[in-house]
Amino acid sequence: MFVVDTVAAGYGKSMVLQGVSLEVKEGECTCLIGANGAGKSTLMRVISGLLRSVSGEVSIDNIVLTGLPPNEIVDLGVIQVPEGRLIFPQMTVEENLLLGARNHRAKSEAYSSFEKVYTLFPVLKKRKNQRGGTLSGGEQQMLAIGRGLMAKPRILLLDEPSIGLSPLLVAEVFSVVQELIKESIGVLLVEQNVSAALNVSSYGYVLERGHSVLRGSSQELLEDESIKKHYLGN
Amino acid sequence: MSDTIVISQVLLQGLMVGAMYGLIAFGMTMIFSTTGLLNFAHGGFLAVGMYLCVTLYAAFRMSPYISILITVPVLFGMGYFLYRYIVWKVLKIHIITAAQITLGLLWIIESSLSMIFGADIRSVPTTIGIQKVYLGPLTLSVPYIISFIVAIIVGIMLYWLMQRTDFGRSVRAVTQNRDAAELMGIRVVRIQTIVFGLGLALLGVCSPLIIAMVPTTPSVGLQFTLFAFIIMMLGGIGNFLGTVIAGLIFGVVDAYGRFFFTGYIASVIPYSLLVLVLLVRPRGLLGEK
Ligand SMILES: Nc1ncnc2c1ncn2[C@@H]1O[C@H](COP(=O)(O)OP(=O)(O)OP(=O)(O)O)[C@@H](O)[C@H]1O
Ligand SMILES: [Mg+2]
Repeated sequence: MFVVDTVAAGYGKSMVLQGVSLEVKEGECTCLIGANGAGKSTLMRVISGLLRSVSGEVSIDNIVLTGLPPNEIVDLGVIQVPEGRLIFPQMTVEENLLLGARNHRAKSEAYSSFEKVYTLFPVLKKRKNQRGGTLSGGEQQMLAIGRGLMAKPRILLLDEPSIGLSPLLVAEVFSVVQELIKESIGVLLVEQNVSAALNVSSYGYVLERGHSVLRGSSQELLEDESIKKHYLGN
Repeated sequence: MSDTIVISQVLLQGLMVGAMYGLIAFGMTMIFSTTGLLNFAHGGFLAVGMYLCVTLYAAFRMSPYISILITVPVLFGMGYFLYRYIVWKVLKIHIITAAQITLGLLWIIESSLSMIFGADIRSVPTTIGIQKVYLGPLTLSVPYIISFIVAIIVGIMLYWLMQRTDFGRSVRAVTQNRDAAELMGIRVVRIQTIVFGLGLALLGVCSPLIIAMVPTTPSVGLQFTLFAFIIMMLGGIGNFLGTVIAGLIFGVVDAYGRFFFTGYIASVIPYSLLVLVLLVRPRGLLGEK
């Protein structure tokens, strides 16, 4: 079980997160929705150790991650696929993937991880000697997810994976999420594409200006009046 | 001697010196692209290496070609500890302050060297320094040949390190996207620290080779910093292959400049080269994006 417990954080004096809590179970997809600027990516940065929280705690199976450097958080299997992909543009697809498998747990299994990623995303195999920066937007997103999978995640944080993708690719990305759940990876899915996110996840949280304002099973949230009004546009 | 022979002679010498310049600038560009910091003290540390050779010669009659075994680890250590315990801590807070520190360091190095060794020209005599090799009609002095060979070997080792090892991949990851590198579990500060050490270790390679070719004074630091900076810009910042090529071109242009002109004009030529190239290719010879 992955737990975020009343985390507060911000940049300088401006507090962006004001006590956010959520849980992600292994083998389940949990989604986090919220408007632009709500603080979703900020929470991702805190979880991965790129940004210090002011208070609160993040833990996986009761091991506290808060305060650990990013590399130790990666070693514990909490892997982020960041917003905007952040692939390494001058390196080949293969090198990008290899860098995903740099942590201690993943290194020795890099070979089988390659197989797995290439099966999930055949286009990456076709492009393996091409530089990351020359891929199309959709291919770059697949590369970013593939690179995350190379790290052997126990908990995978996906920050807006569907942004800028065609409906077909969005469907592909979400079907990959379903595959991952079957392998008992826990997925925390941050999305603007609310209906798609709620359909693939079993539990959801709504973040507004740094507060978790709503939580519930995805079914409940899909039927919630305020969600319908603000996020589903009907 | 016919003109073509003289011209080829200058070309060859320029290339050989240029290979040294390439290595010096390689360290600077490596440091800049992983840490974001322009190391103004770069040339200063080259001077430190050269005066280390002067000292080792004075104390033990040690040849610079042996001293290289000492200058390399000493400069690596200096870079490592300097970054780990001072530069990084300042860099976290304010990058301009960190750049200021390296600039201050350049002056500290220069004045300390003047205080210890005096401002006079110093050199290290070597027995092979006066030997020459004849390549058809061309004459080459042995120290130039040695430095060229060493530069090629070190260049190949660097290429292998950067392209084929986990460490090299991590360095490139850090240069291309620091946040993403952190998210891969790469210990970015550790990589930066080692790179800072390596950048200075390259100066540890070059300093004995250079002092075996030309004498030095405590004030050479600034000049080498400027040269390295020009070559870094010429090659395209963070472009490792571009830097090596730019070093060779710089060496040749500088050699011709000194051959055809004297004094101020000769010393302006390298800067004109930079301006010209940047006018045509604003991101340097092999710079991208
Ligand atoms: N590096 C930063 N320095 C200062 N403020 C920042 C920084 N990054 C984000 N912020 C601010 O924090 C707030 C939350 O940003 P964040 O990126 O977490 O939002 P988000 O929910 O991910 O939005 P989006 O859906 O647009 O990605 C915003 O008001 C933003 O301006
Ligand atoms: Mg965001």
